[in-house]
Amino acid sequence: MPDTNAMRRFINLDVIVNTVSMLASNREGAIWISDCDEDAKFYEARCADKRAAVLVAPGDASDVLHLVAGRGIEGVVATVSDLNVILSEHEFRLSTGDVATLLVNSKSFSSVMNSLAGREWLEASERLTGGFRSRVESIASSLRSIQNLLEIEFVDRSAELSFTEQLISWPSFTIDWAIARSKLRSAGKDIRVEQTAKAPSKASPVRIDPGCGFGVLLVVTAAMRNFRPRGITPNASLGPDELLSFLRVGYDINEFESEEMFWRMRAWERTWGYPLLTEWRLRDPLGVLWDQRYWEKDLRAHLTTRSFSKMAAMKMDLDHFRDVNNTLGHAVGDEAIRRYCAIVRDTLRGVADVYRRGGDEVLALCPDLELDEAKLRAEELRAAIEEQFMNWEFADRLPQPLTASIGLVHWGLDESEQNVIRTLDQAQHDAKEQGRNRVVAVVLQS
Amino acid sequence: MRIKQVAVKKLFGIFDHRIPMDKPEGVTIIHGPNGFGKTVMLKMIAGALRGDPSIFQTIPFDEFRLEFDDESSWTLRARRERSSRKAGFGPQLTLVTSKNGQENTATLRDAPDSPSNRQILNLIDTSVPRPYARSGAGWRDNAGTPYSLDQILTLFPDAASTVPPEVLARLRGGVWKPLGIDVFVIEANRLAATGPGERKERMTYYSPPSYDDDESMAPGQQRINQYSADLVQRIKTVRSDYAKVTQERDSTFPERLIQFMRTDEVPLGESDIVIKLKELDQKRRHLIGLGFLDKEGVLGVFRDEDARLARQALTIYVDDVGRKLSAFDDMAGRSGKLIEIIKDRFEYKTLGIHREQGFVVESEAGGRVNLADLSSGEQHELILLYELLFQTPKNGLILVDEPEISLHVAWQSRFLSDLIDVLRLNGAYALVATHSPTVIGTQWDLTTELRGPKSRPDPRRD
Repeated sequence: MPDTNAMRRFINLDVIVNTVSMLASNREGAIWISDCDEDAKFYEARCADKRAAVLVAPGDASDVLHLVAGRGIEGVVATVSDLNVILSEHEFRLSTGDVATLLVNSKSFSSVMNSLAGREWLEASERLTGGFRSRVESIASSLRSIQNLLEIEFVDRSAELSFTEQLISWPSFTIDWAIARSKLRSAGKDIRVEQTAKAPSKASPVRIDPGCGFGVLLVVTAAMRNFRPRGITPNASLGPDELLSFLRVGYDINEFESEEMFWRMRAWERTWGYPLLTEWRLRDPLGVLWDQRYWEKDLRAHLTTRSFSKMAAMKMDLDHFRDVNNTLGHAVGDEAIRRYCAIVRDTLRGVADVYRRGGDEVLALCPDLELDEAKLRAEELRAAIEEQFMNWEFADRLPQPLTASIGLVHWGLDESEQNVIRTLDQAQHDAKEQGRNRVVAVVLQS
Repeated sequence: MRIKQVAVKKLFGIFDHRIPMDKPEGVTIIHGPNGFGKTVMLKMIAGALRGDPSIFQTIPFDEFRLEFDDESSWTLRARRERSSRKAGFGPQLTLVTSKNGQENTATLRDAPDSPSNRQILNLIDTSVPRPYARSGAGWRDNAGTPYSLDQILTLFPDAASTVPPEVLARLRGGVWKPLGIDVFVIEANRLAATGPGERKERMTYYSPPSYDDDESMAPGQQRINQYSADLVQRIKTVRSDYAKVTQERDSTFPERLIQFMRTDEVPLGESDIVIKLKELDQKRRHLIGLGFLDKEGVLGVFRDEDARLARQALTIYVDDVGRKLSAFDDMAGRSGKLIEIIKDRFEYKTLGIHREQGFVVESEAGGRVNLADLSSGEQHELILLYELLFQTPKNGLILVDEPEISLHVAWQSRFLSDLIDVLRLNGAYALVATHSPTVIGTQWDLTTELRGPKSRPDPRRD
């Protein structure tokens, strides 16, 4: 876009840094700087909290972050796609490098393609190539090598697209090596380019190299315009940017939780207290804590990504809770649980994700929490529940005050999910056995 | 005396602002979200310096304080009446001034509600249009909103002329005198002309502005034409100064020449005379170029031998011409700067100055461009620069509200350096309110943030 380029002359680093500083001043949420326009669109539309602001600083996100930090302004993060940058505490990167690659690798990619290109064209392409997706990837990867050898910098998308279309032989949907070699020769690069086709394999999960998603989108959209397997035309013909926006909309945001970046961002929010990510998760039926389905999912994610070197988990329920339902009825019982859940959420705010597993069983997961701190928080929680239920309006009508028994497990790296869950159950069981209204802590050492 | 710091407490009942104005560049920039009181802070400063209480009567605040570089201070406190009949008529204002450790407290009175004063108010009311109607110690509109005398006079300054100034001054008893710091406000809305009665310069209640007939403007006329006329007037003034000096020098020339020769004073050397004459000739050409002087007979080639013939006379002549032309120095400097900056900004158009027509804009394609036909961005830039260069007081305070309005980003990015240049020319200092990160550019050091109770911790304070 020529207009933007003309503007860039005035919107230099100083102006962006001023903008971020001025935005930050009265914003409750984080300021999120992205180093790429397309990525920013995804973050803004799908990921960022309403109170946060997403800004673009093409290629400069890290510089802006450092300059803003130099002014002493906090609550600012940057996402970078450059795989070589060493990340600071406030910098984040997708495992896929950029958003295009994330979306191309997402589960929703094939359903979006199905509805855009149509089943008929996709099936014919599949049959003719013996694996459409892997053909696309191998072409994209060869094009990238050729482009690198030719040292081309494209001025805009249409130039990139026409380069892609030129170098593909469309009847067969393969790289046109004759054209590729002649281009290389005329550029004085008489180097043999090895065809780096991956062996088509339907079984292995599709996963392309970080940062190469846009190349795939280019080849896919070029194919939709030019490739006619058995004379079949796809339902739609569109450019890579349009395809990208369909993928943005079609992306299942829950998939974002399998990114390590998601966990680092959640940890950053806990540490700094500026809302950054939006909530897409479901809450429990009373609407206070996370739904139970996330408990095992998150535990597994932490154990497999090993984003943190230490971790605590808590499991608790109310003592003699049955009395409440029996003597005061289920409506008051729900009220008690709502109250209890809010106490857990507020007491553990900033250190834990809290989940309700139905009834009065509540679980908490505390990434990166020291053992001493975890014990302290658990004891604080026990005391808070005891105290707040002593002052509860229905307290006099119960045979004994409401309290909680809490099991706590703390572990370092390399622990099995099974072992954590079993130990946690045991710890909570012990708290009950030892007379209730207490915390029992177990340290796992592997 | 300069303002060192401005502070307000509980502005709108919410905000505590403190603005230190101690930057060596002479510029302080305030920024912050809408509704935090940037513009109100500028208006309060102007109101305090000019002796105009109306802003303090309409906007809620607890305390407004100016601190000066001579360690004196000026503090206005407001206390809202709760239950009294006067509740609607603004707060009870108390003024505390402090100088050399001596504190002086005065309570400012509202217009007193006595029968004789009511008569005066009724007299003033004859110049106040509907829907404002007399009520108690002030006025009310048809929605029942109360207005004090000061507020009414802000809305209808002409109404002040219905009663003798000394009567009015007595009635307004409590209002303070202007603080002796010239202040100039550059507003966000610059294009509309300021009509008679709402001229912003030197508008105080003690000396209602008077206007020459040829200066008054038809309503709806654009400010750019007003300034073009203002420029003509200024040129007229310096030309008459020049004429005065010229007449005075010329009439005393023979006398001074004889005196010079009698007392055997040492005349300049020939080559000095030649050099000086060349310099003066250059200056004259420059002034002719600016349209300040007519084309005159230009000296031909003047050699050292020529100078030797009349060294004494020429020594005095050179000095005289220097004095005469220096009448233009200030105007020429400002006009030259204006033309220079505009040349850099406008594309396909050039700005010239004509002593009878004021601004003359010509298109590069040839032909005169009507001032009203300049783009609004060009008008804004020209008006902004004109105000900065010609209307800002020497050593005074310039308040600039949102200079970015209607300015191209390229011009926004240069506004601050233009301002700093002008301040250097003028010895003035400035407070700028802006939303534009481009205006701030590389000068983040000059900024102060107006903050709210929910703002993030401020890294530069606390």
